[in-house]
Amino acid sequence: MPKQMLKTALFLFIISSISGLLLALSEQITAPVIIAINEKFEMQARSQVLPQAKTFKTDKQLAIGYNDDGSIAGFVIGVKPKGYGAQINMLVGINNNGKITGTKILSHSETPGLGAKITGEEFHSKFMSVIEKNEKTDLRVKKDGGDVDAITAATITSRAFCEGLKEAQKIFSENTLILNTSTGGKL
Amino acid sequence: MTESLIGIFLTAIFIENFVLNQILGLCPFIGVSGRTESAVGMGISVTFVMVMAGVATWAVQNLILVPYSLEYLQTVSFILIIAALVQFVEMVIKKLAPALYKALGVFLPLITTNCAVLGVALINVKRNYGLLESAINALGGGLGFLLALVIMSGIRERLAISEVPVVMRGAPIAFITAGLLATAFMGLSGLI
Amino acid sequence: MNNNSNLLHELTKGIWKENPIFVISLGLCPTIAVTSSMTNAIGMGLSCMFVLVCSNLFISLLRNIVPNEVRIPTFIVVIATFVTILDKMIQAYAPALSASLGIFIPLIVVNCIILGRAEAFACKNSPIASILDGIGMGLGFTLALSLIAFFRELLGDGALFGYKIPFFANDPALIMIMAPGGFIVFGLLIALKRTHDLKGKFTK
Repeated sequence: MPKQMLKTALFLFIISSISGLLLALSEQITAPVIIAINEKFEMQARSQVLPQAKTFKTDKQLAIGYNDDGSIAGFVIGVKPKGYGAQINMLVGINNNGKITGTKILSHSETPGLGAKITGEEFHSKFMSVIEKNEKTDLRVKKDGGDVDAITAATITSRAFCEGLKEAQKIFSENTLILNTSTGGKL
Repeated sequence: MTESLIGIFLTAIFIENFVLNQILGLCPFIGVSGRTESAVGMGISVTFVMVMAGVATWAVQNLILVPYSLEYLQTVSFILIIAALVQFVEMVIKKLAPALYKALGVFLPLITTNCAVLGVALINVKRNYGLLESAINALGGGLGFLLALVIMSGIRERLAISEVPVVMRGAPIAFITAGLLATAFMGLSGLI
Repeated sequence: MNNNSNLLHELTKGIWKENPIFVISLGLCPTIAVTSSMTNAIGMGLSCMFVLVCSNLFISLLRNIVPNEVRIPTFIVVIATFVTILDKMIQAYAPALSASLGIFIPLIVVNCIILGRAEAFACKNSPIASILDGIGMGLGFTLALSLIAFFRELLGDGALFGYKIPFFANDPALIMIMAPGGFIVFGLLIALKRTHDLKGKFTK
């Protein structure tokens, strides 16, 4: 009997080794492609929310965008406010003056057709025009006395969006404080 | 920014209910929801295996796969862990609690191919949950599965004695009932 | 001749007579979870077909040397290997599909159709018959998914493959692309197939 068991164990071992080898091989081929795709995607997303920046340097929670001449153009900050379904994973671009230059929703699980409109062009352009118009935008939905147009029938999603923006601004001011002290007041 | 443990727990049971919202583990959901008794048995077994699998896969992922950058072995190792765990649980229960084994025995082998178990392990990794969070998410997911299964079996026991058109009997009416149940659960999604 | 018609039968049985979804009712989770759009449904169907064909072939080749006690673990390892390769390929070459199918790609491992075919067919039949069985079952699965997705995307999103269809796009019933719609459409479709089967019985 032990001989039989040894044979069985050996068989499983061989099968698993072949499987491991095959997987390592496929990992070798695909890993660089996947990394390149993710980087390209991140790069695209960053230049979408902060169009004036030409190059980026990433830190933990934020990426610093630089102009052609090497001066800082602004920040791209990742935040995850709590939406109606689950967390909304979004990027916020903020320029030197603290003005929001763009937003992008990376992932969300809001209701299709209602809260999911948060990813739509319509919502984004409407929001950006509000930002353009006002010197200082009150980042709350109109229902709460702010300036942001909420998505119809998705107030909670819209509120979460505003929360994300405020969080991003907070991170922005904390970081500019650090930068200001370390560079002697020059941004 | 971090979700509280209670938040994860309640979300896993009600909002992201594995069966009715995430649509995982449907085969046993339709297969064993005919009688409440077996529904409870299946639900408890799945919850049990799910929590153990949640902890075990967390350990493998964070102590073996990530440190040695072997993440590509994730799917293979997770499914083998689950299969081994199910076998192990089966043996332990058989030895220590023969009565319980008699009640649950038939369901245990089916759990390996229950996608909710592998699903919970993959979701834990995807969301970067820690050990405690993984365990809580698995526990909530299992209890949510149990809840959906028990509600469904209650309805189906009633359906069995009512007059359903011939073509709708069995699976079709069960799916439509599940659809209505899922609609009801959608109402809970703003809860937290 | 007889041999050829047998092989043809292996290929076609999965499409209608032994359709994995509507007749055997296996692999239900992706059936409802990813059928909110035609693109997802076909992507999922073809992914499953790939795994099914590869695992059927390998298991059929191994069928005479696998020790009986470790049959199931061996099958699981073979299937999981192909699923992982597929997962990486999709991530690398079709990132959009990977984003919309999410964890349902690795979950193909526990799709009962694949283990079911390995156990019921591939470990008893020749490699060629097993490949044909895999293609047939995969096609049946893809067709079933597309049929469900056709109704769900058209009614729930007013579109097909993402392109808006006039009239339907005016006021789509959102519930159809959410979880409940999946359950209801699937339930009605099984009932429809049964009505068809019963009719055949009465006219005979």
